[in-house]
Amino acid sequence: MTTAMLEVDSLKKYFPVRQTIFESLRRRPPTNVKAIDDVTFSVAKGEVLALVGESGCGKTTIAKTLLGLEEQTDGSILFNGQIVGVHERRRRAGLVPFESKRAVVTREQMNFPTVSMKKLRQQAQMIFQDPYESLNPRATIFDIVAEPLVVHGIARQRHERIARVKTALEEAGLRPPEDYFLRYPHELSGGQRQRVVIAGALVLQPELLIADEPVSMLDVSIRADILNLLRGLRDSRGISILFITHDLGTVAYFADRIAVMYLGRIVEIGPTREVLSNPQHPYTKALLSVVPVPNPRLRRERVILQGETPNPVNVPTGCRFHPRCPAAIDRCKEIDPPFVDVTSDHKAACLLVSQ
Amino acid sequence: MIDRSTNSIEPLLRVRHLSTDFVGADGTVAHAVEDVSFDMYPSQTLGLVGESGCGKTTTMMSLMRLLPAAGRITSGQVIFDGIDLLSITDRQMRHYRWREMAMIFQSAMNALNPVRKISDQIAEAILLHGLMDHERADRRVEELLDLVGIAKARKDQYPHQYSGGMRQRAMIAMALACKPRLLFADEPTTALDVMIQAQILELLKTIQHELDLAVILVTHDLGVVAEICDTVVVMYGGKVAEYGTIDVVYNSPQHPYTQRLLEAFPDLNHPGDQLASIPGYPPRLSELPPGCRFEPRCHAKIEACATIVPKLIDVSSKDTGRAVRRLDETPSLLSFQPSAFNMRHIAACHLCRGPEVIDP
Repeated sequence: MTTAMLEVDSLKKYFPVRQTIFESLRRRPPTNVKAIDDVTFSVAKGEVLALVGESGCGKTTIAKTLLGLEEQTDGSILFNGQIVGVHERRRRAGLVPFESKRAVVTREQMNFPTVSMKKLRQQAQMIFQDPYESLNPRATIFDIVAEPLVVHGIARQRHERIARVKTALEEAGLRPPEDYFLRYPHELSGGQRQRVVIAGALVLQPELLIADEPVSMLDVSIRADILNLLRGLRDSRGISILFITHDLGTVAYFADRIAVMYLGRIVEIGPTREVLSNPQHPYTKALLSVVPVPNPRLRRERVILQGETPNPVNVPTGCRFHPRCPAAIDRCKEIDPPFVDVTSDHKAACLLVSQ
Repeated sequence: MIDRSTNSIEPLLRVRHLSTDFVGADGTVAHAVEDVSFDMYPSQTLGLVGESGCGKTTTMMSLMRLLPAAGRITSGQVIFDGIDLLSITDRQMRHYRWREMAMIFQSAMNALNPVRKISDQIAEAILLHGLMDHERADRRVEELLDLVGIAKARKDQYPHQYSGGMRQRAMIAMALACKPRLLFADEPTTALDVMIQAQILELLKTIQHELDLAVILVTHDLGVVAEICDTVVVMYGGKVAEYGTIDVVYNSPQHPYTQRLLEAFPDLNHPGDQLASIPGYPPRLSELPPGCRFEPRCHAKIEACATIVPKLIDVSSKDTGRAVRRLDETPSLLSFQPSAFNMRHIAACHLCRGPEVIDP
């Protein structure tokens, strides 16, 4: 195993639900939306990990928490072996994270080197879903791509800055880069815009890209282009990618490992080929069965789950998937299934998985 | 079930040489749709596929005669049940919209009125067409909601209280309100999760079977088309690139564009394969290439492609064992058998050999 670029350990993110005055007078215990509930995973250097799940399962909250856009409730995030920002601030202020049942910042961790949020955001960059909304319509492409440099005070010299923007645009597949400098987002097609977003992320030469549904707004032919581009970046520069999506089809092509999330928790994690060819959790099986396959001769029996992801305020008891699970047994209502090793690096959290 | 072994069935909708232009404020003309022809049979599902800007939605809007002010149908015929919809008056056309052909839009949130109850919105078309009184319309709304799987108790809620999947269900209920025979679905699942997408597609299939509905599915997702369609029209730059039953188009695609589109689709069974991408971007409809519209991006182009517009060629002879669907493959919902219609497989490419097709 190569060294982990990103290590996430028992990460939790609860959003408190605002109480009415009567509820607080009656001293009702505060309720929380458990957006992320005890998630552990790691991304190695140069690895692509895909986080897969339906909307509302907490994928995007994870991305936001990793970049410090949300503060975690509990758990730790290590980036290159260093504790990420939030803990650092809290440690300096002599605080531990609120509602923490365990002593999260242990003495041991206090001695960990920390990385500040600003430094982290230089090394970890995010690519958003919708290239129509994530670009400033009134800024030129040059300004958009150069902005991270300005923010971080890198490449202050004009010629340096131009060189950096040029390389980034080229790496993102916009050639010749000079042609794009003075254009505006509205002049570009969806695929080109997404490339600009990627160039903006690459200009800081990050080690980790967090891509939140980067292709789901794009046409199939352009989608392949962007996926090939991201894969090329991984291969040539060894960038790690956390790839967030609901589409197992693109994941199959792209990811080294898959983590399937349901209602704030990872239910199955393992190498792509293994998870796809030998899925263990009923949720993974259902997700796989509904991926549209472009071959009419392969119309399969599909497991269509009824209803939608339940409200994370009232997480079902026992296994959180049991109300929608086609294979649920009585015990599922009571026991919250622990992770079971299917093989050494393939794990699933289901009572039906035999060891 | 009707005996479909003979060719006696008349198509429900016959589109012939449909062309639509858009005229810009500065007088520039964009040929958004050019010479599009296809047939729709009762209770058939047709997929209209292509990248954004290839004229899919414009084709659909032309068929409904709902083009924006700048759009103009320049030629062609749209024969619905024996009547050319392009030759009747606007007033007559209103009879067809929603009572004969209805539509589901892509973004259910934008298509629903946020300040009106779902039940009122569904009842609107029924009342507008004067089909029922309020009381019966109310019962009809409950029936419709039941059909699409929404609890009656939620009929008096507003769109924001619905989830994305439920909104799309409500849209379907709305489209079915006046019992149309033809349903247009414009990217009905694009904004949805895979699981909700599967639910909606399943719902469409069930409803189609129950109500004997013809469906035109407009999408860029070849996977969705493969799941539920019987025939497919692949469009590129406003023209038909390939047309045939899904079995022949998917298993022996003849047009280079279709071939590339299929290769660009990630395959779950072969993870890790390099994906083929199509270099470049679809042409601007106001500055189309003089020859084949796909020529600038084509990997197989020859000299003639740059200058001569390819004709539609019947390539059926290339298909072996066409339209043979194995019995174990979900026969339950497939009432339509493409082979019974003697569907030809047509492609518009200089590389294809075969007789020219004038009337598809």
